[in-house]
Amino acid sequence: MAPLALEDLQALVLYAYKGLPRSRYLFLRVVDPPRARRWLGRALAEVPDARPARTPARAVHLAFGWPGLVRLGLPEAAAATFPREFRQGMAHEERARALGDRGQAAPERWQFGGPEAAPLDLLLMLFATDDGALGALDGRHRRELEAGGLALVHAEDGYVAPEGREHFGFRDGLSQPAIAGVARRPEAGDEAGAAGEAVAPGEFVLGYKNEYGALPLSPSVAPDEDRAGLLPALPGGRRDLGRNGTYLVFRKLAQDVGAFRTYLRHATARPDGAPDPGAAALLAARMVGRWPGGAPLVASGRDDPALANANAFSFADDRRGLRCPLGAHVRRCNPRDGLAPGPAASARASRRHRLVRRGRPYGPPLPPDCPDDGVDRGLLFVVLNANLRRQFEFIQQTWVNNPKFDGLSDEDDPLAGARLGGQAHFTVPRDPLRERHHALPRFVWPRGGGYFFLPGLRALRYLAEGLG
Amino acid sequence: MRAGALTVVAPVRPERLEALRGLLREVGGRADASPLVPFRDVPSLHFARWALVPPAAPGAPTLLAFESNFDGPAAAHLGALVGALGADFGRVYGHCAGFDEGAPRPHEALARYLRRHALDEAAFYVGARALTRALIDNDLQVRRALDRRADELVRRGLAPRDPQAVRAELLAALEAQRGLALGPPPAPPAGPPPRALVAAALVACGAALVPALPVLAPGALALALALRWHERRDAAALPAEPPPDDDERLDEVVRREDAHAQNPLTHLATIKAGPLRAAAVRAALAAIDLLGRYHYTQGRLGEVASIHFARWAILPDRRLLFFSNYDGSWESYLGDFVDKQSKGLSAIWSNTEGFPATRWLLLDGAADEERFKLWVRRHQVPTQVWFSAYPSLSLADVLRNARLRAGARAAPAGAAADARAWLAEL
Repeated sequence: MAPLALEDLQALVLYAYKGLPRSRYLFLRVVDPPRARRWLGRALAEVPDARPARTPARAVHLAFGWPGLVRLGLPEAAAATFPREFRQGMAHEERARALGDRGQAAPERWQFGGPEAAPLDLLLMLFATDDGALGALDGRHRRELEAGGLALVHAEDGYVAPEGREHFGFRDGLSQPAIAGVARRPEAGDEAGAAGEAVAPGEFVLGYKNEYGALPLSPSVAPDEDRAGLLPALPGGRRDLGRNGTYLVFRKLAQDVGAFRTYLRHATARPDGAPDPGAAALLAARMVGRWPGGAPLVASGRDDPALANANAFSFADDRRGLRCPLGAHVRRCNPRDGLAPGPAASARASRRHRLVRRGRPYGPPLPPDCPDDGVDRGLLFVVLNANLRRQFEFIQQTWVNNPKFDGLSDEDDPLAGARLGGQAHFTVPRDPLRERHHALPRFVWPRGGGYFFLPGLRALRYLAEGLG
Repeated sequence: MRAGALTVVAPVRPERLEALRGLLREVGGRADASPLVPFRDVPSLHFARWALVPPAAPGAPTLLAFESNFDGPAAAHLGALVGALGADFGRVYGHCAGFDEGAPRPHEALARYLRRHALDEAAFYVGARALTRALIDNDLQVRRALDRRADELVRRGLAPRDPQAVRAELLAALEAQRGLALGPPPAPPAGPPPRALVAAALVACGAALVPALPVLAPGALALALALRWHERRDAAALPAEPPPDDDERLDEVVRREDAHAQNPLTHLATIKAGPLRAAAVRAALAAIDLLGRYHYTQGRLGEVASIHFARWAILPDRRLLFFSNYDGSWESYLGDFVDKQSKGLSAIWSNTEGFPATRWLLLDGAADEERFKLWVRRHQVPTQVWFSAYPSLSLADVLRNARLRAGARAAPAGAAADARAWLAEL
């Protein structure tokens, strides 16, 4: 197995930039393709590769929606070699059905990226140390955009939260797959994401063997569409546009913190109606599957700081879910060794549905004990994977939103589920008789997003110089 | 007694194809409660579908394929189907060649027509054996009554700590609800199959594997080498990159998916030319059929636990039709195929055209995840009409509800462990 070609890989694949806590995501539309390609040629010089170096003072990364690749001038036959789900895009009705985006969450209602909205051709990601530096980086790029034949469609700001807590109050981003055979330079904030089990590189980067021992199918161009020979050759003669690239999912997920707290309070109220904060906190932890500080419920009955970053735990000894409910968020997003028919098969299957997570919260936290303030807040969910359908969409459809997950009957992810059946239950297995919480409303709402291709650096150069 | 299968494939009169398509579209809108063809009125029916099968060659007719999965003997099922839905079926088959719309005794004519166009299943698998539709409906009521009572006990803080006491509380709620069948079914479920049959299944399975294990007869070795020669030639003829997966047919297939907890899959492949492939596909299907009948009797085909009913049938024009009624998303079903059942599926489908390169009948093929999934998608056919009698139940639900019902009879001095295990099913 060839190690990853780090010099050709956008550094974002390996690094979360916890040391660059301010970030901005600019969604762009290609207005003038030749000028946009020239702009791209200048911009790619700023994109850091993944070779170990000291933490940069700023970073710029680039990804492309399918309409953007076509508009930049990628030939039709080459554009057709991208997988169906990427060509369709996140807002397509097929994808929306797989993701559970319907009703109030339907793409038609999104703030950006919807079917009737301006296409998201390009995603320019800016990372900086503080607001001032981000403003300066952003200002410089915006001036160049206009001259570069690009128009700003939408922008989002994300940040690295203190202690890594998301808006519901839990430390987030703890379960991060390690890429087999890849030595990473340690970065600030790493302790908040202890590396998990190693997963084959082909799950996250095109051009390498995946968990099936196979090379992922990769988008390609005909030899005469790459006369300058900028791209590596594939067996059979076509040129590999996908090599060292991956797919990036961007989803703006609003978190209804007020509704979450209200539900917890009502569901755990004492018989006389008085609130029971301890019971509310316990129910929230059961819904998540970790304590607020990070300790897994399956490993500890309390919020043990020593287990705050634990990521090497197992569900195999908790098949009934007496310690961590079967439907808890962390079991649904990464069931590890906990599913039928048994631990080894389950662990193998789980490795085929992993995501590199690069998301960050947006919006101010809701102060404790504040019922609601009407402010938009949530998660800018960003993940990387080599196969959108088998990884990101599978997790959403077959685990998070599946009412039949792991033998359950009528419930989806208590935290992040789409409530496709209206409202859902949440079963807490107990001995001898289970508890069941009823009528969970939806707490997490998609507000926009898209599917993007995050090319390798050679492919970036091809898009800048090899087209037109 | 295991559920039965009926497969009917009839040619469509070319000038009536569009009219039939329109009628099926109307019926298919809500097949689980269609006023046009009320499948629900046939009490023994679990699943049914109609799918239009494209012509085998230019000039050949489009075919209308029907499947049903039902309780009881086939003759009784055909009678019930024609009795309850005769007029509706008559309207549908009125568009098919050789059907006499004006026959004097229309029900008998319809039954004769269906029998004449019935095909034998080359392989048939049932997930929930020994569970009739009536029992499945009954068990769902049992489960709901138990859940209601359990919720009440928990909400009012009345749940005792002692499993046997909790169990007694729950059983009282069932007794209050009249008309529910409780306890094990009156006729015991089919016991373990006779050893001889298991041995026969293993032998048949072994027969299908013979090409891969050329140790015995020189004849088998010759067959295996011939097969391997075919495999190499077929692999060399495959394109380096699979063709793109976008056309209206696939759009329609996908548009019909994921309306319920279950999905139908209708798949059509063409068996490769020559006697060797024809024999190999039949041997593989016979092996799967025997294994499904006598070995995989606990709701899992191999380790795939999401199949209610599945069948393969070989059409006279040398095409292989596959119908499946499965739980969950297509991606998870196909993932199970690749992860848990790739050898069996390769043994069948590697004998059909365009299948990913396969070695020794069992290797690679369906284990080539992305190419296999693209191949399945490319050969799927829209299911115009699909009926499920219990579309919100997974096979796991069906089997668990049955265990709850079977254990819902007050056992004299039942052990606490039994009560605890029973309660854990809730």
